[in-house]
Amino acid sequence: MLRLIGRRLLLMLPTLILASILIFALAEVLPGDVGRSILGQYASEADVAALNRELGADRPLVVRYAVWAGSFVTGDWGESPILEIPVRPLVMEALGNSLLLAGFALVLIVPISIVLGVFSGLRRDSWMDRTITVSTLSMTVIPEFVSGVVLLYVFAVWLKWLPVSALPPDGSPFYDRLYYLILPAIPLMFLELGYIARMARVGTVQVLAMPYIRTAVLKGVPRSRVIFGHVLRNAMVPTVTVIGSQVGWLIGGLVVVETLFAYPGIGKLMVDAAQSSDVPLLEASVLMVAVIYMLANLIADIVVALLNPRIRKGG
Amino acid sequence: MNEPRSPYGSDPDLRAEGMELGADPEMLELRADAAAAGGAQDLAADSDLRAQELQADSAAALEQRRQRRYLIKALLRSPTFMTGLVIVVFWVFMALFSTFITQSPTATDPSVSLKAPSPAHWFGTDDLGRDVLARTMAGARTVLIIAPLATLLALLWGGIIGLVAGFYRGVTDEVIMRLIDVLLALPIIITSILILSLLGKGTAIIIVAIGALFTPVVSRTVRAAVIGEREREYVMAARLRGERSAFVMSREILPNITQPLIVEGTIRLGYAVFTAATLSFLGFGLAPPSPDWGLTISVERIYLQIAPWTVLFPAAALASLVVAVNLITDGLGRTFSK
Amino acid sequence: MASDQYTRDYADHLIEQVNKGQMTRRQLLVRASVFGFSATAIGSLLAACGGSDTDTSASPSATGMPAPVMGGTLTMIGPAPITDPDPVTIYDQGGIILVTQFLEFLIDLNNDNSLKPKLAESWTPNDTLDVWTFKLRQGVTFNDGSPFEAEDVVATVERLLDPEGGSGGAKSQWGGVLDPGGTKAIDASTVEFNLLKPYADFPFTVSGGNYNSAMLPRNWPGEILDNPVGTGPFMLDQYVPKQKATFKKNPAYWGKDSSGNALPYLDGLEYVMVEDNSAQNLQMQSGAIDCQPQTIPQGAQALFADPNLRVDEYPGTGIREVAFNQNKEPWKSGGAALCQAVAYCLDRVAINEALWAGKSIIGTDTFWNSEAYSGLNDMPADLPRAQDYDMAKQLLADAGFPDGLEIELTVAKYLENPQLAQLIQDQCKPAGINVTINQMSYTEFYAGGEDYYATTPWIVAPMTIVEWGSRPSPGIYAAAMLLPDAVWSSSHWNSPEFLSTFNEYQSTLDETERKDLGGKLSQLQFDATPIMVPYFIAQARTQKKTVFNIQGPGSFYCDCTAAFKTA
Repeated sequence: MLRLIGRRLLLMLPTLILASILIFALAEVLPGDVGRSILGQYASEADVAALNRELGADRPLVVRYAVWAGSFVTGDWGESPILEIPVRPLVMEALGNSLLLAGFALVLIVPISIVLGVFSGLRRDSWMDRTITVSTLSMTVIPEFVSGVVLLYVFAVWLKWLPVSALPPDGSPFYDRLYYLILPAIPLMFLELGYIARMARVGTVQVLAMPYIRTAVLKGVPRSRVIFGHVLRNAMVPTVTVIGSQVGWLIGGLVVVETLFAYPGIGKLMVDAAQSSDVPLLEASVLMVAVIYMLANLIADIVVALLNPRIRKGG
Repeated sequence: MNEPRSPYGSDPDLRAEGMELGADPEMLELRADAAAAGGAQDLAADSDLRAQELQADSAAALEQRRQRRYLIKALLRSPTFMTGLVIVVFWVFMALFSTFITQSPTATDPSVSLKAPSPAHWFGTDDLGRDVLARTMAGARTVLIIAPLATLLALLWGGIIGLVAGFYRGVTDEVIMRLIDVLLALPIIITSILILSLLGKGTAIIIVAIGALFTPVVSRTVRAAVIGEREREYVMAARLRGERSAFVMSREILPNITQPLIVEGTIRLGYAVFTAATLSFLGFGLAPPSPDWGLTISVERIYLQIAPWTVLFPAAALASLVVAVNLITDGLGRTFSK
Repeated sequence: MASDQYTRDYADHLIEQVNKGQMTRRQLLVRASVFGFSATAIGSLLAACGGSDTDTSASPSATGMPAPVMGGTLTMIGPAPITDPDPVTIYDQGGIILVTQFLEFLIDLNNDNSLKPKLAESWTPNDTLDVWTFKLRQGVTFNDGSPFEAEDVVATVERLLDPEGGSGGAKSQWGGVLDPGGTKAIDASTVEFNLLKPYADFPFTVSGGNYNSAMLPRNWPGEILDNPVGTGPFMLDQYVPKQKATFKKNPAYWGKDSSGNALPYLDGLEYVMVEDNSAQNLQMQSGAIDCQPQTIPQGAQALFADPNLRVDEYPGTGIREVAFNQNKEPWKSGGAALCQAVAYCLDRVAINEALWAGKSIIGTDTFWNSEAYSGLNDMPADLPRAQDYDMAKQLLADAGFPDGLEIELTVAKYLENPQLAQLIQDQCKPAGINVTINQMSYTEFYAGGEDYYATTPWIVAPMTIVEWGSRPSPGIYAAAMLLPDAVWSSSHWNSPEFLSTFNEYQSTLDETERKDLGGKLSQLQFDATPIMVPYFIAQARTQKKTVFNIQGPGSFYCDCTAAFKTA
């Protein structure tokens, strides 16, 4: 087990390094030059050259990359030229906010989707079953800003059941923060809702077909407990696999949802940095997202391995 | 692993089994497809003599055509596929001809701004008095230009890379796959934001960016299919005949992986529509007064409270297109795997 | 120091104007306050005028106000400062609202453009209006304990005028008026401004109307967030970038209310940063926020209808300048005829309807608009300009483009500018003018290189839309945008006639002369149309019904010095 984790962590390193090169290249090399992207289209060549010299952008690429990567690793993520504040605290705070939102969504989604799946499995082929299946699977492919905006309208504007913003007033207790995150979390949940519910449904159907159900019920175990127990056990691995495979789209969804709800997470920070050509902030936030992404994939794989004895034994 | 979402899939049991084993669900689907498609080729195997080969070839071709007709008939009978197709055709029609049918999508009339749906404006008006119906219909144009072209690019590039990697294997394969892994190190939305914010605006850049970012996944799929094919006898026969690799790849293998390629194409198309809309919502690429759905939603959402029709109609339109494309994918998948 | 004779003559002149019906009492109040008459002096001037006051622009929260309540924290909502909120260089709403909570000006600007002494107790010009002497308030200290004295004023002004850097905003108001070295400390509480030319509008340029001119200590090291040293009623407590800023009461604040109680009433403030107006509106409705300093009417219908909120509306003087760069094609060869052609394509009523729910003041491309500047008397008759495609086509032909032409409009994705651009685009079509919109991010629009003003899009592009917050007088606008040497001119209009008329205008206090010269300036601007001014924006501030006495004109200010909450 530990060998597995260790090996994966080791493999992560070169990928991370290559990703950082990619980010650096896109940010500092492709646009032509740093100076130009900061100064804009009307700046004269002389100005651009002067700024490049000042930023050290005329040094060889490798050197610039080494300097950037080196300082990044030691915790110096530079300063935002637009906001004129250090990048690291800004990024870390945003990351915390995003992890809260994503974590909340993930925590909610497992029970909700499994319950939905079992429910539709129990009423197999009924209109309820078909509605649930079709709608949850449809929600999977609809962009988060579409479902988000409709949800906003229905639940916050029209019915007024939920608050419109994603942040409670300052100084509110923690559970208030979660309450305000309900609406933003729903579009994120739609990503996996369909698959997990369908798996739970399949599992339920399978269980119902098994003879040992009757035995268990005759022995006095309530039917629902049998079903839930069996379904839960079997659904865990595929659930984590699905979530793990969707992390990339979850992160993309985070960007959209944070923009839509004006939530100060890493997604919104990245979009803001991109739109104001704030290169150091953009580089740092994208790199952190890459790290989180790889870690999330790793954790998902570890959890799968832990839950699945076959893989665990295999090492 | 940045595996894409495939909403309806083929056989739920196969899928469930695959997931349990932690295998690649797409891979299983492809294996199933390949198994179905491969049958036709066995007729063309074994013979060394040119005449026999030609005869076998024509028999195979006949069989292929019969297969194709059968597939098309099956597709036409599939309700999922047809529903999706009808909706997509509707939007293609709208993208091409809506401006001849509806009012102008860009004509402003501030005296009627933010008016609710009425006989004069069936979908109401937006903040500048423009007809929402006209803009909703015309909004299909940008998505239906960007997404298909990006998908074609991805299929082209991914196809070539996948063919090369899958055919040659060995070091070439390893290197290519590692590079692919790096490109997949970041979620697609993030990389496209990075690219678009730094390389500027314009439809062309969006198409190239999305195409480039979908290439890795396509190449993986193609590679898997090619690997599945290359051990087959017709391939070995071609190589024994001394055919050049490029010939083998393009003339022999490629035609036999068209089915998985088509399915992959439609899957990518769904994602491309999704990604393009998301990027324009986030403000990358398109500019007003374009009636693009993503852009419209991001601009008009401040009026959600007082004029929800300005947002809800484009949202519904976008949702319908995305769902429709996925219905097509699902229909194709189901049909191909029978 | 104006001679007694001069001052008396001026006072008589103002009284005469009111008595002749050429000027309202309120306008007298404004002009007298600009000149530097004390409140008592103004009172006696008004008393000396006969007739009744038909002007009823009372301050919105004045009537029916309950007794002030001590304590409480007021929450405000607005956009985050776009860049580091350095008071010397800021020009955005977020930055200005932020720093003006703990910094103060020499003079306060009221809603009706009259002036009120703040850190300056009184001021007076000489007879030729080119030397202005200010007496500073006694007993004022910065929140770090150091006294506020004339040296600090000199240091602040010199910092703003610094040739290496300095303040674009301040320079746009002081360009050609005040140079480095022109400000002198006569003694600890007297400052003398030696101007380059007579300038009747000068006091406006050291008031809240010049938002960079807030007073900082002489040895201020920079970095406002690390050194938030000011004389204001509050002190910066906490700053979380892009999220919020909190302030606490300045216990040593110099201000007292009319009963002698120490100000401010509030214990503290919180400024919550939310970018877009709709999100702000929703927060207001949820009851979480006490005040929204800038309410945009379009989209805020729900706020007007909310029983718990009160929306104060007042005419504003902010504009959106649509500039035609006279140094670039097609404006260079097309000239005034081409500029006017575009101007005649605009349906200003429709634009007002669409963008401001009909509440803004319709502009006709000159700064001398009597409705926007109702507090000033030197307004000539308004020049009308309605949509007229025949006129537009005729002018196009005159300009040499009988078959229409293509023009490019560069605009930042900020406020309602993109929508204005789309309206202009659509309204120009019938005349054969095809407008391509080049929309860029706010940062890109204002980005620039070493030689900033030679490279930044908003100064350099052929046709732009630039937003301006309020300015206290048309003269200030003209100085900033239309004079040949104006730093912030996007039109690069070069009219010697306008310049000489303008200098004449600023050198006289005679109301009849000013009206006449103002008329000439307005006509010159109207005929040449170097810029279009489609409207003067509608200002509104929303607050809870339990919040009172927030002052400050325009959208940039949220003066909470004497504000209080009853709940």
